[in-house]
Amino acid sequence: MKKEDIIFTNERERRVYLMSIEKILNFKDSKVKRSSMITSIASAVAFLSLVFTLFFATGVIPGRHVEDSTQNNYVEYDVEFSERYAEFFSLTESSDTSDIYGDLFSNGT
Amino acid sequence: MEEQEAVTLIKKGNMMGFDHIYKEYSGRIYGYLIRMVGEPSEAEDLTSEVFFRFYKGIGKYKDRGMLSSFIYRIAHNAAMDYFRKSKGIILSYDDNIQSSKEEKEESPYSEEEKMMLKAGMSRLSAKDRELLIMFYISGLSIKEIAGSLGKSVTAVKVSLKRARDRLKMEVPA
Repeated sequence: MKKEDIIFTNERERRVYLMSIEKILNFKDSKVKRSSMITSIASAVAFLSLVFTLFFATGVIPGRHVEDSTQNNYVEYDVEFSERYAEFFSLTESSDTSDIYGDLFSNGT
Repeated sequence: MEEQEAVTLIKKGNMMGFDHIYKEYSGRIYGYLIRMVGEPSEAEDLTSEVFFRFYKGIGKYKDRGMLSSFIYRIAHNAAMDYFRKSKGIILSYDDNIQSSKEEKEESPYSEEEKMMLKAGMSRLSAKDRELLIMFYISGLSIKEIAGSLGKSVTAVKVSLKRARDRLKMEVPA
């Protein structure tokens, strides 16, 4: 479609039109500036996150070692428990209860 | 060019559509605003603001709605913003707008009657004056006024009747 020039009926109409167009152009300009600013901030953030990822991966910045204390406790507890369990059974298996009772009764009587 | 076609062009970023709407409504919007604020330079600023806000908000305009209501709603909001900024000071009603030769010839009122009407309008509240301007001067329908003020048709009818009654009281018979 061909752009036609607007014909104004009076000076006021022309003046107001130019004021409106100026505001619209400023608005468009600020929109462009805003979107380019957002784009540059986003790319800066992406770049920094990439740099930090690389630093952590290569060990330039050492990562914090987090100990899993729950797991260790569980293992320790498990070991302790099984040791005590084994001890208990070994005691019951090796000891001769009849002798104990026999001694007890023999001593008492 | 149809209004709808012009709106579609604006939405696509074509300023030809904007030019068409401007030509169609600028005179009426300026007429409404100068009667509301009374100061030609303020009315010009506000008119340009209305068309800027119209351009900015065209995305919100639904195709099935009335464009006149949409533009007058923006103009109403611009006028209310102006009154708020000027701390509620409402300037006197001014009807010294350059009317066309035909309008002058067709006017059934004498200069004295016009002066009395003008004085009566100045004494009305901004809300009453706005309704009377929209209906009698801008030539909007009740439905269009309702759309632009965000009121129901019945509410506009009632308010318009009250505004007319108050003007009658202000203008001696």
